[in-house]
Amino acid sequence: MAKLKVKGTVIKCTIATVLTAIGQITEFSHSGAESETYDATTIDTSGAGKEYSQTGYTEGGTFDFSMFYDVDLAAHQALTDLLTTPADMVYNITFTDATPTTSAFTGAGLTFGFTGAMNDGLKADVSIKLTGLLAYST
Amino acid sequence: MRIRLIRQDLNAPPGTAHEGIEKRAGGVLFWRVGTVIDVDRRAVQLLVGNGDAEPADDESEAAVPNWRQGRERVLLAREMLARGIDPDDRERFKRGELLGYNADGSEILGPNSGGADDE
Repeated sequence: MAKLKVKGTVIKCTIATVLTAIGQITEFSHSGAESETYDATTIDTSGAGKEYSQTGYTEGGTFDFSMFYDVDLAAHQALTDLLTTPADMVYNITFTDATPTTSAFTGAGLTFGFTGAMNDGLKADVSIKLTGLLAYST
Repeated sequence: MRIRLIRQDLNAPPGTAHEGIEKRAGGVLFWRVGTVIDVDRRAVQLLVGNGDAEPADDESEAAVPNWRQGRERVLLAREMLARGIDPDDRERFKRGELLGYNADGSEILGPNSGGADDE
């Protein structure tokens, strides 16, 4: 049992079959993954509780991160290239455990925006729509 | 266009087949240092510019004519990125006082640290 630190986590994107680190990320999150269910309640269901069953599909969710945006940084440009030339891209996350463990996933779509404020550096928010599932550690 | 990969921590996407790829702990695929691969012009610009590769033929050299300019700075920045060096620690890394971090978050001190751990 361990509490893994986030400092030192590396998130990589693919440039021509080479996974390389995306720099200057300040925070990240993976959310929305869900094993889908359907309402399996029937009029002869016993008791008050509604029943659900699995559809057999799992929604992969999104992987989101914020970063200080460097327009000259190659990995940042590789991300914005996806806006001009949409394509699947493989990403991976290298965690900070001793192994270290990596989890790969494929992004089908990308949402990208950046913000500037007088009292802060130029920042970008990225949201990647997964196709399939993130390769969770087992 | 051909480039030569120069880092030992470059992964390959799962399922990628190439003689320059090796499988390491956990089945993770890595490119071997020195492997030469064929890529398009944009990938030459990105991977050479990021400090992951060098041009390996005249065509790719022409795609990034100034790639040697400021190369030391690019490679140092790339190394700090790979090691997850906190922006606040980058000057210490450059001075050789810090090499990186252990899994528990403690510092791996460098040869110029003087043995002091200031965290």
